[in-house]
Amino acid sequence: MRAIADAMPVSSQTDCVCRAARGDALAFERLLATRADQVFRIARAMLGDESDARDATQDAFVSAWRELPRLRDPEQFDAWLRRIFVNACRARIRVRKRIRETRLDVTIDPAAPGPGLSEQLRATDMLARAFDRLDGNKRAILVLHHLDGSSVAEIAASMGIPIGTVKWRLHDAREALQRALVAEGENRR
Amino acid sequence: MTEQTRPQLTDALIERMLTERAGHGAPADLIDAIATAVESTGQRASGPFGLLPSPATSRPRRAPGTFPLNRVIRVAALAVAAIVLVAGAGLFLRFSPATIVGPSSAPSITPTPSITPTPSPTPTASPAAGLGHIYWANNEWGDIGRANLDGTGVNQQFITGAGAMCGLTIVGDYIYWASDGEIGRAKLDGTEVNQRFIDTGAACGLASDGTYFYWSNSRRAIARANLDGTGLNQSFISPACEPNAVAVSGSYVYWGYWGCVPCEIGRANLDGTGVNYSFIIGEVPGVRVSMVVDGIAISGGYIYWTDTGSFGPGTIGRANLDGTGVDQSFIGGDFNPSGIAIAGGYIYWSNSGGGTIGRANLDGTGVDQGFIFGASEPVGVAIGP
Repeated sequence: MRAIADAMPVSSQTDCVCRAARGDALAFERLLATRADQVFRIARAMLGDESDARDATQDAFVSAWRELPRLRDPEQFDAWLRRIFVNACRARIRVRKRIRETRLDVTIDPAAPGPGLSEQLRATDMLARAFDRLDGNKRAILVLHHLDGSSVAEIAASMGIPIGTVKWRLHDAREALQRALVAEGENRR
Repeated sequence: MTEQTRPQLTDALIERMLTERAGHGAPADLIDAIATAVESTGQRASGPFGLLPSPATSRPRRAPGTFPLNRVIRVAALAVAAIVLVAGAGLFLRFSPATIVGPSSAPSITPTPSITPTPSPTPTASPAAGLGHIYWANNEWGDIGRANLDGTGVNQQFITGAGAMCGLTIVGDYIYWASDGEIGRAKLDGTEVNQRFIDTGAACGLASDGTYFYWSNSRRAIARANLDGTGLNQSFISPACEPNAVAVSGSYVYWGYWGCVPCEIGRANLDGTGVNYSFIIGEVPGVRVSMVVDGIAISGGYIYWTDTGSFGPGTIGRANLDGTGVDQSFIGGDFNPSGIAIAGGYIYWSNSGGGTIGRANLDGTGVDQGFIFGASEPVGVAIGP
């Protein structure tokens, strides 16, 4: 989200946010168009399913459109949107309440050095299944840190928690992923 | 599935898995579908624009000295675990051969028999009494607490009004803290509070050599500035991983990482040269994940650090100042230790998960995880007059 937002000058972004807040649907569509890809990728990584990611993305943007007049500081739009978004994904995970079998799109580079293709595929497949065992908060913090590249401060703003809390929640999530990985291995025995 | 066939959890593997899950972007028709949904949305929230809730200000404040239920449960659970451990160890020693190593030869790993959830401070005098004060940052409340070094005179709200807190440091007559993108300061008697002394942009670990401030920032770098905030360099040192705790001692600046396998602590000369990103490397046995080094202190030829542990109890590690003799669990059984400071022959640390300040002798004995109770997610710790 940061990289996409960077592509648009800050003054232009702020102007778009202000106009959208006043009801300019075209301005909102412009904000949407420059953020949809990144937001969708975060949703898909959290939810592991394209259909759920579509629904979460749509829900989040519609909520953002409805709630935008409440946003006081337009420069905080991205952090605000991401918080709505993460909440939408967490809500979807809570509703689903079951572990979903994850299909992986194989994008492994066979020419890449390191473990062989089958071993890479097996490792990421097992880790994806372990990831699906985590709750929404843990998935969110791992995705924001490892996929979105968010800093501690950005994660704190996105999740509405203090910086110090982000640190041990991330560590907590990684420990939980480790345990889930062990449990996944046990299941495959 | 064996240890050998289970993949090792690394940053690279997590990133690869998430990148594969994320795919390449939104489907072509999704934006149109959202635009249609937005157009058909009638009711919107009414202005005027409301406040975006700040992570610091939106949190409910709890009365000082009271315990959140989850922490009480954790303290109780760990206390029961400690009792079981001690009882188990007693049985083990009673029925085991004499050659088995007992607790006396392993003083550095100590369970938590001394936890007593008594909010009142320790009334007895100790060698630390009269040497000064311990200060800690109550992250959840945005306050700074203070007590005498012997644990008496606890004031959880000695300085109030900060946001989400991180590091603390003392220079001269002032205490400085990193909070919500600012370095704040106040006189050591709690007066002249200035929450925005230096605008840093999300500082966390904070240290000073008396000439400069050094802190970890949101740009994943160690920043440096003069004590008056001039000469700001946000990328003074730029490690590959995100730095967290920062400490200064002698002619070196040290920093800890969070979530960086297998590095624990980096070191550089105070002028930013001689950077060693992996001065101390943590052990990574099997599939162990990285640690979060949240506090660093240097004293008597040793470097000490906290690993917040998060889900597990967390530990305090120690190594020689040349980086050798690494002991990741010099003191164990903590409740997510965060800040750490050393004075008067004692190690003090904040247990951010347990809401306490712990204390132990410099050799790792005499561990008291509940030396001071009633803090709220305490993070940075500093010792002053």
